[in-house]
Amino acid sequence: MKNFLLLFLASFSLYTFFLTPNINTGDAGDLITASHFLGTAHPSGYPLYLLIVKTFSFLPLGNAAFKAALVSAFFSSFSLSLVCWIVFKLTKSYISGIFTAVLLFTSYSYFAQSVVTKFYPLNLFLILLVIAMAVAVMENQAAEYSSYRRRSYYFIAFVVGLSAANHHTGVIIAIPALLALSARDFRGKPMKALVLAVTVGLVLFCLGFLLNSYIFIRGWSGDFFNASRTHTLAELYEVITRQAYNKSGTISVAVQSVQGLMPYWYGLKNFSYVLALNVGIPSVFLFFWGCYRLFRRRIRLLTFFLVSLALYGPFLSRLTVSGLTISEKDYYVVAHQYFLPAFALFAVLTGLGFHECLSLFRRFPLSRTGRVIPVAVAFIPLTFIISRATDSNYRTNYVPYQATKEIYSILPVGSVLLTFGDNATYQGWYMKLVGRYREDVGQLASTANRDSSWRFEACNKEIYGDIFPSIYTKSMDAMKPFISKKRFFATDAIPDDSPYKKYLDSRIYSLVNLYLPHDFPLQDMDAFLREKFIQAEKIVNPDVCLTHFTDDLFTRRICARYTIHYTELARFLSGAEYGVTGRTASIRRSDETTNVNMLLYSINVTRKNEPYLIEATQIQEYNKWQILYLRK
Amino acid sequence: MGDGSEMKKYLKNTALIIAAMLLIILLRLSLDQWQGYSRGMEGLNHGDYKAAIMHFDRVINAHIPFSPLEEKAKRHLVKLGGGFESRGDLELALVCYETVRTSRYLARHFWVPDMDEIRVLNRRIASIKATLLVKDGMVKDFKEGYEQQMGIMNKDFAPSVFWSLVVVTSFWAYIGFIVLWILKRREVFIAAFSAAFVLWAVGLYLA
Repeated sequence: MKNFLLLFLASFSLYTFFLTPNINTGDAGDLITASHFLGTAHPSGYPLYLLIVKTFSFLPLGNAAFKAALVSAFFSSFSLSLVCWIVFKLTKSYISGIFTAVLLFTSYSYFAQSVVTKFYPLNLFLILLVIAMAVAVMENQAAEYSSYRRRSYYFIAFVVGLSAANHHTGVIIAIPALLALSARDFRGKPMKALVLAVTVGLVLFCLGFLLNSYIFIRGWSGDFFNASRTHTLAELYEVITRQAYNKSGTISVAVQSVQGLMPYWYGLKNFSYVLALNVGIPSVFLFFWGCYRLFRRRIRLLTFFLVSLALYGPFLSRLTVSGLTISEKDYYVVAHQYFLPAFALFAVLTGLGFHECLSLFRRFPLSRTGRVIPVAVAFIPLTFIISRATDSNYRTNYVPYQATKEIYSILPVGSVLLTFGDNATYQGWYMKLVGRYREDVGQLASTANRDSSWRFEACNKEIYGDIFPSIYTKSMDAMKPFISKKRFFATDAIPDDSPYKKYLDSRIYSLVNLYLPHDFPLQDMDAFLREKFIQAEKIVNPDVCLTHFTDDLFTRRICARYTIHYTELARFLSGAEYGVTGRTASIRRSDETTNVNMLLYSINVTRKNEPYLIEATQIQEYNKWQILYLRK
Repeated sequence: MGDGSEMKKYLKNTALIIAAMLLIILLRLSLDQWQGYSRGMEGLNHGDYKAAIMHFDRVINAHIPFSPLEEKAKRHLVKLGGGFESRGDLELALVCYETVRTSRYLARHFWVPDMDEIRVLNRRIASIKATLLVKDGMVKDFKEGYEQQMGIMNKDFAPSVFWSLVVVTSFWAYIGFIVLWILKRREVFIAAFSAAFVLWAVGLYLA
């Protein structure tokens, strides 16, 4: 027991060291804000996770985002101890268990998910609890049909129910667990006992699942922050099954699983690629050796592990990343987090292979020094921590916090900011609703820059109804006088196919965009914007984009805002009066989806704008580093 | 007797682990504060106010109760804000004051630390915002702008701390009693988790 606790504390201290110091990109802002207000997050609501984050929020140390990220470090460390325990249970060798934990600890995706605010480490912990229980039952032959087994079934049923109140993938483990345990354990038992066990198991599952009533109660009580508001049972069903995501909703995804065989092939291929990059090619050899060992010892256990691995690996991959080519975003938002259970299962089987290797090694007569070798080998995966310190060192990543703060800081008092997409919106909610930064600014939110529907969580009518009355009419005509006061900003420019294009134009305004009516007089606009850029330059500090050691895709996208700020500022300062150097600079825009590199404009390099152009180039170069899966 | 000593040992180990975890967190935050403060002072001494604000911001966001570095960083930020305000650089003064205010709200646990300080800052922030609103013709006069901004800042929509604690405690009790029932199969736990669930639901509704 002491060894598992020491492992827990060692991994917790390392994860805490690399932990994000404040808000991170992705869903973090939404989750922290929802937990803070005891509201609901985006579908499926994640009540279990929110309540755990709320518990940690009472810790009188650090800020809200840091405390929420501690939840990830805590559950990831716990999961490592569980993985170590499972291997120990099967091999009676601590060193094999530690090898497994170390292998998982430093793997790219596992590490990155453990140091930011995410619900995936909790999801993995619940899955591993079920796996550990199932292994304990299958290993404990003497206790067959005893109350120990019955308790284990009930515990598994309850944990799976709890998983359904966190992330849906957690429920998948019920399939291999039931297949592995039920068939043999209930054979020959009286029907009455079977019916009773199944009924109690179902009741316990429902008691775990009942935590989802959180979404309904908070929707019903109509409180301040609900990203997924529910008033009826039909709405609750929609939230829990993520109907808002259409094709990515739970039911639609489940239906897709039976359509076509080729996606399974691509899914397997993509999963294998991601797995190899996480655990390294040499571990594949140990994995097969581990499978062989189990095949000889316990076929039932091997089947359980392989079915679980197949479900959390290739099957999940078929549902999520089964395309012929995968974009960086797909890799980042799917493969980087969904496959954690598969990595853990793979690591367990690799640990068994390592144990076989160790047993072979111990057959040789060795000196005391020689016996140290296996221990040293077990810690070899720890060397990968050097890579993690350069690609997943979230301790150095202040970009989401600093950029969101600066976006608010450069806005005139009494403005409205329209945010597009999860990242800008969620980080804005965190700063504005939890941190209460620049409360004079109202934040509207839209899913995408081609979407004209708005969310008002951070522009609550109760607070801003008298200040921005026209905003609540949702009519561009009624809003025109307000927009004409140069007080309406957005995180994205207006694309040509946007519904706003009919009414508005946009101009770059430092880190954001200023929206103006079509007929707005533009004669003094350049002078106005030049003044605003120079004023914003007193506030904007892009150092964060040059000092973070993460390959986080969305962090790099945020940093592109600083590049735009500097190139635009350089344009304003390119006139002859700023001391022309005789050189010109081409400002280009590269579209990451089409790879089209388009020339926007050329400007004179002047003594005044040269430092800004250099800074923009440095930021761009520094933030080119792609995530591991696409790194050459 | 055996059960009692087992329980004692279990509680002792749990307390030790929690203490070790708190120490680890404290060390990490102390490191952040120490690094942030020395870099902030470096920025301040070199006249790089942007670096000073950024690093002092990091210090006060790595909240440790009664930390002298945090207190000093807060004072430097308020002083910087005062300097900007007197030079008429109101936007920068606003950044300094809002940075301090936000760091206190982000450090909220059972209560918001330094609430007295926030009240003072609210007045200074509202005053700056009102001045800027008048300058841009967004409000009739200073009084209207000031009252409007104070009205926004004085509202707090965070849920009740008491009911939040009820929710969190009953949530863990709910899970704990179900696990205890699975392990011990005593009927008292059925009653206990039913009560915890009811309390949890009521707490959620009232929080």
